[in-house]
Amino acid sequence: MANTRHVLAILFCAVTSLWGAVAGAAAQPLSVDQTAYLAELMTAARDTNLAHSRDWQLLLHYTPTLSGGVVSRADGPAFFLSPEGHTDPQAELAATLGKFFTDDAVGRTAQQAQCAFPARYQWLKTRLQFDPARLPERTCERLDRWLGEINPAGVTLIFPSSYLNSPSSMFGHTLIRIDQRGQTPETRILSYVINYAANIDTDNALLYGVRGLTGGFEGYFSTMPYYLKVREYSDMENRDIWEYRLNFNDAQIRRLLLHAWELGNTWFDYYYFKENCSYHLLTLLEIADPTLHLTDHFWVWTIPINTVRLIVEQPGLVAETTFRPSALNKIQHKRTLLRDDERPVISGLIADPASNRSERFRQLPVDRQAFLLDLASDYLQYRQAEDSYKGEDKRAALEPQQRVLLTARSELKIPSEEIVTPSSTGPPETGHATARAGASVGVMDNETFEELNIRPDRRLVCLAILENQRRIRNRQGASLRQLQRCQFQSWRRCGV
Amino acid sequence: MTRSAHGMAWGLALTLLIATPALADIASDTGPGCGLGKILWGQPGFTGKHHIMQQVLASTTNGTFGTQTFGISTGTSGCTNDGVIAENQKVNVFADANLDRLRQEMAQGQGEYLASFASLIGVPADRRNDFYALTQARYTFLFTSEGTTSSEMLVALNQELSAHPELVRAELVQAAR
Repeated sequence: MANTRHVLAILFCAVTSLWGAVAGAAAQPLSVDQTAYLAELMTAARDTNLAHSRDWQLLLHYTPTLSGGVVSRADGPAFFLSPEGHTDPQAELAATLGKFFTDDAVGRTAQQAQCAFPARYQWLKTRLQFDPARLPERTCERLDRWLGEINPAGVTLIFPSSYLNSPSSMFGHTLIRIDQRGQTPETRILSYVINYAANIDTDNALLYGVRGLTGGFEGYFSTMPYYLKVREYSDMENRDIWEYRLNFNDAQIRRLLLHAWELGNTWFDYYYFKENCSYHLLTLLEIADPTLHLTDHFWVWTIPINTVRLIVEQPGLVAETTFRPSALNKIQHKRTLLRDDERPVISGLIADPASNRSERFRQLPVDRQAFLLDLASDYLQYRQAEDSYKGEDKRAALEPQQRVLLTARSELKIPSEEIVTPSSTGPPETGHATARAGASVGVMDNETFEELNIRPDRRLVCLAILENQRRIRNRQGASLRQLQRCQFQSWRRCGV
Repeated sequence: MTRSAHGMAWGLALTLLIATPALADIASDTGPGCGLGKILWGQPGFTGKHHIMQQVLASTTNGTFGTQTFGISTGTSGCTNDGVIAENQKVNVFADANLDRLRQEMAQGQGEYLASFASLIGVPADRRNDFYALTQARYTFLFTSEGTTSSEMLVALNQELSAHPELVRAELVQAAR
């Protein structure tokens, strides 16, 4: 199956390139007036050196090269409207302006240029004061529908915390959530996130490692409902999530989204250490507010927790911090709320859910019965999440007990009391600082992971964790194949 | 059975129910109406009775899935349009992806997933508590066995709500397609 995907990916690239060439060859010619107006716009652009302004550099993801020029980090060719666009900002600007006039379908997404690259369009329109009589504005139905669905009102940075069971996740991950109009704390999970991740098209664990480190995978931006991510991080991996609501106004949010839409036209070669999820998310934030200089701080590698720290340090950028405890964390907190005489009861419930019908249980106050049943079913869900790694039949084995617990709970006819789980560690950015890497590769100071204090070489940490993981799985009787798969799945995160 | 045939079959079934409220795109018994499971998680030998936990993990970690279905501006793909869930699939996808949490909270009569679900199906804010009490009271009707799928639950809920039209927004009460 991986081979098929690989072949399809190659085919897709080939078709796209061909399409680009054909589209270029079959480009609609401009009228006399259009040509004249385009020339005027180009003159104005050159006079104000727009191609070398920060905004244009950000939109095209240009970074300086050692030889004094620039190169774009975007690797999908359909991102560029000029054949030289990858290295020539002026040519790209000229080609972009030209395409705004035509009906040509451009980009991987095959839309008219104003709709395929709406962030570029809006920015150029403002800077060059487009005359709508000479360069009419197009309506972009697909874009408008997408924006309508996302229904933006705010941006929140999401940080699932360190996950020691996975080397690539031990520094956490970052993604952003686009908060919706009318959203309440309870409906947060319905809003969409923007996530950057590598497209993994190999099953070979070694290749996975090598390619992840050397840019052998393509990274894409995607959107999905937050609830999918919460289930993954909170329920399946038992990671706490920290949410940082950012202070962006409507115009900034719109600019971020328009650019995210543009990014659908391309991919970025994925480099685990430097150009990972956190790096690319910083670029999105810079586009929302170009006065932010975030990516400049990350030269050699980008560690997610450090990007969070940097964002928190920006004056006035973070409005509010919210803690979302993992499933396991909630269970552990609830256990501290058990009364002494309830401890044997809860053990009994978990071992034999039918014991909820016993006199001993029924004598408890109703709200305590509810609490105990809730905790028992929380625990079973946690076990089922663990078991799902071992196979569907293992997970399903606990379903009958779960049913007994939930049915009994529903018969109590009272709503559960809301229980707030506090964070035991405080926000992650308040942990010990990592030293700036600077020129010394492979040295790190005092990174704190929850209760663990580690100060070694990153590679050694990875090896230690992998070894630990292998030992745990071995104790659980996993086969070698399962161990490899487990290792492999663990690496599929912000990292490799 | 093609998708349009499915649609027609359900349209026929729905005409037999009185003024059914918002859960218009009820999935068939073999899984979500848009075949989300098959598209997203492409498990070989996919059967109708899938279990969400494993698939959620597979779905969101596997980048390939992400780019084909949730990639930004990738066009229409079964359940999604340019990476966002199609309007008429939101309820199905939510219920399917979160079934474990949803059923627990229905039994508990409160919770984040239940509140979000209520919001998706259009329960007015001042009716939410009544809705939560209803799902708790009718729990065993909504979940008839340990293997009840999200689609089965939605069908049962649809039936239940047709007896309580005040719990959904009036304008969402639709005649069958």
